[in-house]
Amino acid sequence: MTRLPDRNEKPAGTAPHGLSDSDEARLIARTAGGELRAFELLYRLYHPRLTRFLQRMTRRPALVDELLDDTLLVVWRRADSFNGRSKVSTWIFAIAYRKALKALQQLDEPADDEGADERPEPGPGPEQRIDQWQLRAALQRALDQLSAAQRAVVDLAYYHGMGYREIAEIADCPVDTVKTRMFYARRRLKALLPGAKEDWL
Amino acid sequence: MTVVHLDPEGHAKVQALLPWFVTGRLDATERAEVEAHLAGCPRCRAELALERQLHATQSVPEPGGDVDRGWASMRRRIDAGALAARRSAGPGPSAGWRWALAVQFAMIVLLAAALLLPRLDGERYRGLGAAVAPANAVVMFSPDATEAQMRAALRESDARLVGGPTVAHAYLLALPVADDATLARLREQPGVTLAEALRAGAAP
Repeated sequence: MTRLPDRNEKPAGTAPHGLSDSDEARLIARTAGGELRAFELLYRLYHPRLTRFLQRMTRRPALVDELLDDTLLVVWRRADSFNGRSKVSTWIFAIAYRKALKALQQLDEPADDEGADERPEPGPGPEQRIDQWQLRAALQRALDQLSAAQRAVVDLAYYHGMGYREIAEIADCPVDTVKTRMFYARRRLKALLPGAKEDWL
Repeated sequence: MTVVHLDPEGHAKVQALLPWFVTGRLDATERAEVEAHLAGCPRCRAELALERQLHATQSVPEPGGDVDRGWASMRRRIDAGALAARRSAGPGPSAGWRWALAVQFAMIVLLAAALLLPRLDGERYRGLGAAVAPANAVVMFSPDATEAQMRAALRESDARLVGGPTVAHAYLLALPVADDATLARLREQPGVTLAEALRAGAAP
């Protein structure tokens, strides 16, 4: 019997940290009005999420603090430019995404490399039995082989629980591009999982 | 009945949606499509099982950064930006910084109001009664200021702590004389980020 996902894992309109989207929008409005306390709350809400996202996307710990600071400084300085057409989280993650891509491009790292799926598979093959520690290490290596754009989709979808339309807004790309990036990323990662079979395509 | 699992395009479409099916982020229509397909497709159900495994490996929380340190750094950048704006603005501040100055002014007004309001009926909070002088200044410390630094700052300026911290981490002080020299000395103390008189030329 197929187990279906819980339908109430995250009620629509509620951010992972418990504030509603409208609460967050109000915090942005108060920040735009110069209310430092509102901004501090936003900062504290988004600090852990952006740290995780930027670590995962860039794989460069030395970049993370600076990118996070730069992202949230934009939130403070440009809160008045938030137009309410997207969720606050989409707006903030999009700022972080653009800053991360720009930083990686300045380091000559292929940030948007759709050819990453052509690289040889890393780590042990799926036929080998690997324990959880090995699996984690192998997945880590596989993630390292992905492009930053692909890693961003993986993290936004799996960890931050974002839908593909929201991810498309963040990455400023068509939804099919999001699905394609996810497809290649998953193909590489799933090949390492116990029980994985040859690609069905 | 349509045998959807024989349609390769059906497989591809469903498999492309599986990550968001697992995280519960599909709309009702898409979810129904995926569920209908899965019901008749063992191959895609196997993919779903792998998808759940993959989701489990990628949704594990990791240690985050130091948010207090980060916020302190952000405050310094905000303060530095406001200070630079004040210095460079001269008699005609640029439009881009006018709001920042206005915000600072508004915060000072709000802080003063927040501090002054409790004074109106503050005696019932002051268990030490007549031994406590009225506040005539406010001080703020950096988030990483140590208790020893805070005590030293009060001692060096001969200040008595009469209230706080407020929500903005401000403390009310009773200074012997809240003049410019005393406040300047207080501002020079390690850990102090702000020291202001509650009233110009205030004296006890």
